[in-house]
Amino acid sequence: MTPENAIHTGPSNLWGLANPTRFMGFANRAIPILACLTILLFGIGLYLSFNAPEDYQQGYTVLIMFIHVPAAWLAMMTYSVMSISALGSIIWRHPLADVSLRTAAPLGAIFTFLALATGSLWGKPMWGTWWEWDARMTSVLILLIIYLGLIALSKAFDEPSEAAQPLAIMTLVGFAIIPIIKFSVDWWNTLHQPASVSRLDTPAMGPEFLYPLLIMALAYMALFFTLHFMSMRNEVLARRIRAMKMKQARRG
Amino acid sequence: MFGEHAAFIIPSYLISFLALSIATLVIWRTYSVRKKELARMEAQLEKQNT
Repeated sequence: MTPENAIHTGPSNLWGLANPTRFMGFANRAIPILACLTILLFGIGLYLSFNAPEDYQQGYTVLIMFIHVPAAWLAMMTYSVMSISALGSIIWRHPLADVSLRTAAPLGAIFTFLALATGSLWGKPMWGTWWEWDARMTSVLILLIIYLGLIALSKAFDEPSEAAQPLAIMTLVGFAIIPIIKFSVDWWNTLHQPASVSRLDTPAMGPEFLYPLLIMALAYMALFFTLHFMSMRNEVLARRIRAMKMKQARRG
Repeated sequence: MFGEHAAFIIPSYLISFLALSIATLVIWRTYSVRKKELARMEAQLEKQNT
C-alpha cells in the first residue's frame, strides 16, 4: 500500500469516521467542544479538590490523590484504546486505526510518567519512601517502558504503513500488563493500597473526596480525547504531506 | 497553605500542569506547522498543474 492510498482509501466503508477525510471534519468540530469540556471539568474538579477537607490520616497530601489516581487510570485507559486500535489495524488493516494507535502512545507515556511522579511525591510523606519495588509500582514502571518501546518502534520505520502490523502485534502482546497492574494489589502483598473507588457499592472514601476525584478523572479523560484527536489530525496531515512529497518526487 | 506537606503537593500539581500544558502546546504547534506546509505544497502543486 502506498502512503497515498494509506490516507485516501481504506479496506472498508463500514464506518463513516474511518475515512480519514471524514475523520478530519469530525475532529475539527469535536476538538473545540472537547477542549471547552476539559476546561470546564478541570475548573469544577480543581475547585472541589481544593475545597475538600483535610483527611484525618493523610492531612493535605490527600490533594495529590486528585491528580495521581486519574493519571494512573488514564495510563491504563490509553493502553486499552491502543489495544482496540491495534485490533482494528490487524483485523481490518485500517490506516486510521494505526494512526490512533501510534498517536495515543506518547499520551499514555505522559500519563504513566505523571502517575509515577505524583505517586512518588505522595509516597514519601505517607510511606517514608520515594520508591518501593512492590508489584503495583513496578508493573506501572513496566507499562512506561512498554509505552517508550512502542514509541521507538513506531519511529523505527521510514514508511509508517510498514510499522503498522509490528506495532499492533507488540501492543496486543503488551496488553498483558494491564490486568497485572489492576490486580497486582490483590495478588501480592504490596505497599500500595488496594482499590478503593472501583468498589462502587462500598467505596472506601467519603463523598467529599469521591466526587472531586471522579470529576478530575472525567477532566483527564476529556483532555485525553482532545489531545488524541488533535494528534490524530496531525498524523493524518503528516501522511498527506508525505504522500504529496512522494508524488512530487516521482514527477521529478 | 497545605501545612508541612506543601513541598510534596505543590511539585505534584506543578509537574502535572507543566507536562500536560507542554504536550498540548507541542501538539497545537505541530498542527499549525503542518497545516501551513500542506497549504504551501497544495499551492505549489496547483501552480505546476496550471
